[in-house]
Amino acid sequence: MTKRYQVLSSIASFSQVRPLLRRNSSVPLLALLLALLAVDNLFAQNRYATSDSMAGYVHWIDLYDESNNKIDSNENSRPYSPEKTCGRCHDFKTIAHGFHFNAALPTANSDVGRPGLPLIWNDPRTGTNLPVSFRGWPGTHKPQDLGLSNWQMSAKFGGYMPGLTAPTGEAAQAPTGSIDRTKITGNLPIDCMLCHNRPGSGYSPFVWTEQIQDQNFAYAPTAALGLGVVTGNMRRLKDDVDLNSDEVKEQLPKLKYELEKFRSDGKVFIDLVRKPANESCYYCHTSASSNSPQGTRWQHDDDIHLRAGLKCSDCHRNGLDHQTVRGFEGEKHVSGTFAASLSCQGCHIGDDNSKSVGRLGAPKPAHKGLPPLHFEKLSCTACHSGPQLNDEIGRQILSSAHHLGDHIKRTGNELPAIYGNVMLPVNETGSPVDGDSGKYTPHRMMWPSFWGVVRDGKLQPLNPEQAYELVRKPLKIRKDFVDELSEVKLTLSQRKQILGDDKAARMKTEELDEKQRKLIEEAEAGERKKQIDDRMIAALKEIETAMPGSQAVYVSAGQGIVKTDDGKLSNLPEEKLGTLADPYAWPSAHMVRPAQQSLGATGCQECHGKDSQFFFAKLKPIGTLPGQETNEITVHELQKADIQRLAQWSQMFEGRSAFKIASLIAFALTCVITVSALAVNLSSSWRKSTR
Amino acid sequence: MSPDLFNLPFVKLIIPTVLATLVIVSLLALWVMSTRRHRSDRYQRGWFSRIAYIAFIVCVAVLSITAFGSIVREGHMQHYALIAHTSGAGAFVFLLIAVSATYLPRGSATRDNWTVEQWSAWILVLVSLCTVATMLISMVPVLDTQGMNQALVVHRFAGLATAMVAIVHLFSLVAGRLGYR
Repeated sequence: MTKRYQVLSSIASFSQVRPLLRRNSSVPLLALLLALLAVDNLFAQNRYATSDSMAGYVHWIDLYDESNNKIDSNENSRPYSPEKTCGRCHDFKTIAHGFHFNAALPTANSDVGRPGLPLIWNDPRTGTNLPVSFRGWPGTHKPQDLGLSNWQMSAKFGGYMPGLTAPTGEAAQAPTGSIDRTKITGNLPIDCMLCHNRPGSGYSPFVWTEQIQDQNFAYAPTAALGLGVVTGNMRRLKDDVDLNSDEVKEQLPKLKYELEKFRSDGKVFIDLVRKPANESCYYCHTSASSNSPQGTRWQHDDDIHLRAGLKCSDCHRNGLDHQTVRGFEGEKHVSGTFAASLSCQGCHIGDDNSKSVGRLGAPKPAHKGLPPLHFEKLSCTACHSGPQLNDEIGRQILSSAHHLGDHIKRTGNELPAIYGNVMLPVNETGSPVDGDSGKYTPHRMMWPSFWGVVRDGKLQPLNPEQAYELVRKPLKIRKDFVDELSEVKLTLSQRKQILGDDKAARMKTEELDEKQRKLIEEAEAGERKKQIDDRMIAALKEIETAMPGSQAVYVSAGQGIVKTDDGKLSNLPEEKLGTLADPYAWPSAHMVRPAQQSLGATGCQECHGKDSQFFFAKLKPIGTLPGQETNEITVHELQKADIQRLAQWSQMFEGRSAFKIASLIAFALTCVITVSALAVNLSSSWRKSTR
Repeated sequence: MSPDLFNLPFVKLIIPTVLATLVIVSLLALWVMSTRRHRSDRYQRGWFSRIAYIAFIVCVAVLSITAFGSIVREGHMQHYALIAHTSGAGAFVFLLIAVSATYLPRGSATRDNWTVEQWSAWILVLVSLCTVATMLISMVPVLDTQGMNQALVVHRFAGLATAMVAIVHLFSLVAGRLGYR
């Protein structure tokens, strides 16, 4: 009989023996229930054995599949289940509600903190780059609002997610008309090893991504861990397939375990770490300059914290609950104020009552000569984080948005175009405000591009899959919206007509002379524009036919492209466009520079100069539609800063050094005059007194 | 950042201090009018001194309104108020030279001037120097954030004192000019 049962029994029997049901039976009953709950909770927490040694526990363990059957490498070809394997010793249910896994749970998103990196629904076939997020951050779209199921989100983004805890009840129901193949593939599992693998152990997060892309959800943890090789994929199975039929069973992916990984007793060595290594985080959280694929990575320095020996998980910590601290100012965390101590201020400055300042060796900054008002107007990251200010805002590539880790030839200019860093003022919740209020914080930003409709005066994005079905034929796109829409090939007769020479018409364009080449290029440009216009008009028309009473729009780079009644393309007026075409921006941190390289280190005029890059840097949104013309934007337009006041303020900094010297001289002179007047008065008084 | 000095909340002190100063000046005015003592040998200053002093008072007024008005209304100074304040501060530093040179009592020349005028002139120059010093030291990379905050607190209180003493000194000059002292 276990100790838990003994204690529970004694409580229950105590209440039976004593005639507690006297005057008020509900009170003792309530007390009994509370006692039972308390005891049960106490034992629940102690249900899992722990080693509690700093040396860690060497994981020679048995593997279990999703049916809780022990895996025998010789006979059982089912993939191992992290939930059933790791969950034998670790409170998986609690872990599964952690921040990295709980996005689809409605209860997890009541207070989502400041906006973060969205999941960007990128469909190169339709030119769609739509910021989607379960969290409901302003500027992003919730999957259910777009008619996307959790399964679709898992299939699309699961390659760069460590898992997704499936909701239950009403929240689990897929939106009407959405694709949901959960019955075929299962839910996206949580793979503990995606974070807890030891670098060099052979765990490959890219294999995880590949398996998810093949919809081999259940097989991904096994394949990524290198325990076995998976052949085949679930992707080719139809939606209405019967998994129990023999024919279908033959089509299921095959798993062959690597026998040498199993010890004679059937246990497997799982090489893991308690605190995730940086490389584990990098797979999903890499950000780099867009020119790094050209080999410029060696020119950029590491974050100062990494150089000092810190790891990602030193700041972004969590307990068993896996509620990872994000580390921004004002973060509300289940640990209470502890999370505040892991923000920039928490470690480096603290507050008057803080005992945690200086943790992890964080030096306390002096900020000598910096007026304290700057701390109300600028976040720490505004001066210390990210690339240094430049005349032009550059582009960046990110793991999940650009599928970094995938072995392809990359130029760095792949869509979606993400710009950074842009200094934008935000309020306490992280929402953008105008330049007169809020705190300037560096952001990354992107302009969404998507197909939508204007209905009842309001722009609504279409479900990306639905948009593809509607526009693929009129656009005549197989793979890439940008390349194929702009690909034109002049016919021989067209070339003859342009060049006026049969022989030249048959030559390759690069073999022609400059004049002839220019003629061909001009003709191609004209054909290209016509092609784009014709196909876009056809696509917009197709949408309007499928959705009567609405006006079809293609949104790109802040513009809404519609067809006019006379068969041309035009821009939708801004009042109809609303805010959905506006760029979505999210704060960026990291890549912290040393103090000597912080903003303002060379003087006040880095920001308070008349052409300061802080306010006057430029960026040009890239339109997804080939040939789309966009206007260059100056950052202060995005900041909604009062540029006249800024100009006046900047003027005061010209000659500031000379003014300081003159003021010091004036002050000294005044002191001399004052002292001399005092001396005169004292001597006068003395003479008067001696008479 | 606490704007308190010896736990005296600055924001709450501004209006009571101004009101107290106005009450004191009013009482002084009543006393002066009831005990008129005109002196024909009163020390007279030149036109340059008077123009400098008027400019100085206007400066003090601008600095006070932009500073205390902003603090009372928004808690701190920013935007155009800050621009006006820093512009006025530059003029204040240089006008203080003229005021200290021409209005500080100097032995026998100003011996017979009203006591209130003489003492208020000294206090005015001294607190003005304190106000200027706290800002000058903030403009060079000497003080850390805590030091800057403390300098700001001292600057605020010294600035408030400057404004109040300027009112009293101006009153004393007007009383003398009108022949009451």
